Amino acid sequence: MSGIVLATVATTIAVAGANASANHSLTSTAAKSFVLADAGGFTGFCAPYDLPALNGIKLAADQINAKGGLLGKYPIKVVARDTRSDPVVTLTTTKELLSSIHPNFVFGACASDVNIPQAQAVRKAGIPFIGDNAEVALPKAVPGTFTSTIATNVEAGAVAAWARAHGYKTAYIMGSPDATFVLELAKYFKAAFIHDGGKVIGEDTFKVGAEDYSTQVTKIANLKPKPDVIYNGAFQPDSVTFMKQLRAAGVKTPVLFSDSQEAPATRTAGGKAMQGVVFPTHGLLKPGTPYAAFCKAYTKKFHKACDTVFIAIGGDIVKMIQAAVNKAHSIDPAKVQNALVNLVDVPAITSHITYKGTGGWPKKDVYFVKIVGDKLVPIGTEKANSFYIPPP
Amino acid sequence: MNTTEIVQQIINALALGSIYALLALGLAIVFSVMGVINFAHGELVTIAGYVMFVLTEHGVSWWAIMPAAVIAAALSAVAMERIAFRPVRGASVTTMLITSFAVSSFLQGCFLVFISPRPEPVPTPNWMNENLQIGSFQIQNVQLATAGVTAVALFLLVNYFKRFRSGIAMRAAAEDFETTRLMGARANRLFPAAFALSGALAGIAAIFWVGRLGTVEPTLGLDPVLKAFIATVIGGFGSLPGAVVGGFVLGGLEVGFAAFLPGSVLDFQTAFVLACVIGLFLIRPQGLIPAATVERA
Repeated sequence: MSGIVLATVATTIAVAGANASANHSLTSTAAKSFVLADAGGFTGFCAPYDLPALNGIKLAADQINAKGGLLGKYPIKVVARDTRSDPVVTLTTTKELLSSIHPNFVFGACASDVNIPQAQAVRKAGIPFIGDNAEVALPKAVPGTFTSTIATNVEAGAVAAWARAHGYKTAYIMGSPDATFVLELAKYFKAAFIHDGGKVIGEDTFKVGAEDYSTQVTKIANLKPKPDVIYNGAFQPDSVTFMKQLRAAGVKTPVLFSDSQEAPATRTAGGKAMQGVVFPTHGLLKPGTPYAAFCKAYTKKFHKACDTVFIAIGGDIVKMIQAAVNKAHSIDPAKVQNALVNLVDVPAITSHITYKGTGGWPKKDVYFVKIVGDKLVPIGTEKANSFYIPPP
Repeated sequence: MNTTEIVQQIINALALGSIYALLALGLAIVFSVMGVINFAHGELVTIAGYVMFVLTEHGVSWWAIMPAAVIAAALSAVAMERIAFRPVRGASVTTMLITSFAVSSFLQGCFLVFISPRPEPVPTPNWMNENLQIGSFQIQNVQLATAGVTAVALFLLVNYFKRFRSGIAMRAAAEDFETTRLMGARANRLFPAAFALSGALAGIAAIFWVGRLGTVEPTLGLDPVLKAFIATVIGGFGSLPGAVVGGFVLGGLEVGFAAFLPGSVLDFQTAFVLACVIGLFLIRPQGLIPAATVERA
């Protein structure tokens, strides 16, 4: 029995340590501060996206607070809680935050599979909510909520337009029922590619997180005729595993992926197999841009490389909040919500962003990058509203 | 679907089954002496993965990384036995099961705190990502290596179980642990030996598992232990040959349904696999090759 006690105590210490490393203190909030609750998955599958976004939020909040805060008088207080990328933990943690710290705003977890119940609880409390996700399932299921990144239908539409513009006439599509993000991307890419005059010659599914794609790769290798391009909505590490097996099987067909390939591990782990892979992203790190300045400040503050665009996405969120508060002349949640819905062309970190008339996702340009060595090389931009977007 | 593709899918199934067999065998060895499924087995795969990550970061050769990963997993398994399982030896199956979950949870917490919540890259050598062309068939080197290493590991294990005293004792324990102890087998040697063997197999499986994924993260071990558990159940709890057969059956079912199901029902491939497993239990409740006496846990 002592073994159990020992193991349980040790587990508790370790897990508590994990939470403590990601959390801020929940001690009493200042009376006149804007409380921004970030209830994201800082561990688990959301970590590659939610953890950088949290750091971006902290940095942007510090920058605004250095000038007196929102409206020059309300400092932003960031309260972060790790929800472990688990829907149940996410919901219970969020409810606890809502009742204990009474936030003015909640930034949620990375996937609609996780954050829809969270968003429902937040909106029921009358608090504005932006999820760190792209699935249109969120604003569809919980009206009045927003996604932080370009929506799946917008992203897929942009990729389809890019593919057609680069001469790809036929496509093979990989999707998965395991994750709404991957499922939606495959569905919307198919709709957009066909709308843009392309032909889909085959589709297949895979299990998210699988260690083996040899079955799917064998099917692709035996396709006759071969597709011009393969579209795969997978996120890492699935993308790396798939590409390694695809290239090992001698298939040289170009592959387009989702935006989730930003994490540095994707480039390093994929080695030769990931070379030449193209995917859309949310911002381009060019000298002289707000993104570049933000990255420089990030490295100075955290002593880390600014190695993923999701850091800047965190900065975007704070910029959108600032714009909404400025428009509302108030930090009252209901007024901020009304202002968010009507934001137009806000100069954020990655791009200018519009929420008005979009249905809950940011209208912005979609950038394309190619993996070359261990770098992401910009190769083009699909301007907002310049391509067909399948209806959600 | 042409003949080439069918044969290629059979090769895929055998390669996948090889990894599952390695994992299931490791799980079954500990079950044979302890009488419980060690759900912390997956964390041994993760430990081996992190060893591979650290060594690749320092530019160590893969010929050194591979044995290091196996040794690290084996030593971790022995430590696991000594620290967590020895104090509860002789306790109820439920107690040991909870201990295994606690160890698993504790190790995952350690990976999160002391390493990183984000996936870490484990770049594999080029030879692993290339393929061998035999006629019109392509066998990926990693598939070939997996099958080959599994075959060698099984050959060595069979000899170990037949020729070595501790191996014979382990085999006997799988049949009847209490009688084996009465015959003079020392539990304090048998248990660490079983864990070391189990850990070594987890380390070998990790080389190919992580080699395919290319990354390691704190929860990496969940999927391998789940596959190993299902394979062990298919083969029959406590049965070492059953674990191997179960691994190949599971690999065959997964690849078979993914390859041959029509597109309209392809989303249900996992459901079809599990339905087959349930169907198997209706026909053979004790698994394909059950051990002589087992207490289910």
